[in-house]
Amino acid sequence: MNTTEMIKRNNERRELLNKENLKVYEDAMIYIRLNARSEYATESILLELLEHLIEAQQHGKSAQDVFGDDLHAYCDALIADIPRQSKQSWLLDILRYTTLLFSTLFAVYTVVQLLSYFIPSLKTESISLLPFVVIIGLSGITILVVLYALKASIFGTKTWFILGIGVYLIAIGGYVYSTIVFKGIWTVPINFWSCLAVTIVMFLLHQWFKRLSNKADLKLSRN
Amino acid sequence: MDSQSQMLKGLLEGCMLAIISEKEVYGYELSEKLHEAGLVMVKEGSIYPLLLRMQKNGLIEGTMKPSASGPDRKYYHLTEQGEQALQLFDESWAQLSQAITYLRRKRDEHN
Repeated sequence: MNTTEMIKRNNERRELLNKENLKVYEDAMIYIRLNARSEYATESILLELLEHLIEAQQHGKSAQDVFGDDLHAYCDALIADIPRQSKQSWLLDILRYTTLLFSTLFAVYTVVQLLSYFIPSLKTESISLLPFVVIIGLSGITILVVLYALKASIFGTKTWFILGIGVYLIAIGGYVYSTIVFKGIWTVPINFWSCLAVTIVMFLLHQWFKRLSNKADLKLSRN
Repeated sequence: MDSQSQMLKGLLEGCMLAIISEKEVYGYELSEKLHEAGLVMVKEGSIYPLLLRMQKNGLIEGTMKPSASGPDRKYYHLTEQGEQALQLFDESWAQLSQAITYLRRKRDEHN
């Protein structure tokens, strides 16, 4: 089974858990997934824990009987021994999400271009490239903070969660602001077809990087 | 981590190696066999961090196989290194147990 198949299997099998066990399992699952460990190794141990819990449930045991009273400490002990992600797959992940981000942005531009055939006031003939540089920097910081905030908020600390949302909103605001400020600098002409082409190319690149990253991760786990 | 739980971990690892050496097992099976052996103080889930570490150290290997009762499960077996680790554990345990028995007998004689 590869990583995607394991995630799919996990989603199907999770439905067998009762409400209480599901809550505990999903808390642990999210907390463990939010760590930059090998994705293959992470999904593999998560599936193993799930199968264990399902079987324990069939024997009348609860998630607490299996994982103990301190789920947080249990997860930390587990994470400590999951192999780290390789540098190569980490780099490929950055490319994978950056291309996805650009594909999404250009999908929006494509729709706006299409609409401008019917609503002339929406017509834009050129865009500045500078905001894209801004967004790469901003998104990197935002992803790090949001990931940390999500992780910290699972076992209690809500302050981090609020900070995470704050940083996320500031990043979006920063991007929108930069498109206004840099309106006239480093501009390139655009139209519907060029936007569509960039969207598609970025999406294909995203898919390619995703496959390469999974492959690099799998190689690490097999060694 | 205090030294007592470190020691327990080492002992638990030895017990797990012994069970796996008998026959390939998957997680739930392993925890049941530990229970059957009388290690009731061990929480079922605590075998997983250890299984991860033992894999990392090359003592065991896991392979996905369809089980008799339904889903694919990860079955563990010992590597050559694992066999050596078990042998080493048996030897140190014999030594330790001998030392403890000796000290106990001495204490009994005094009383």
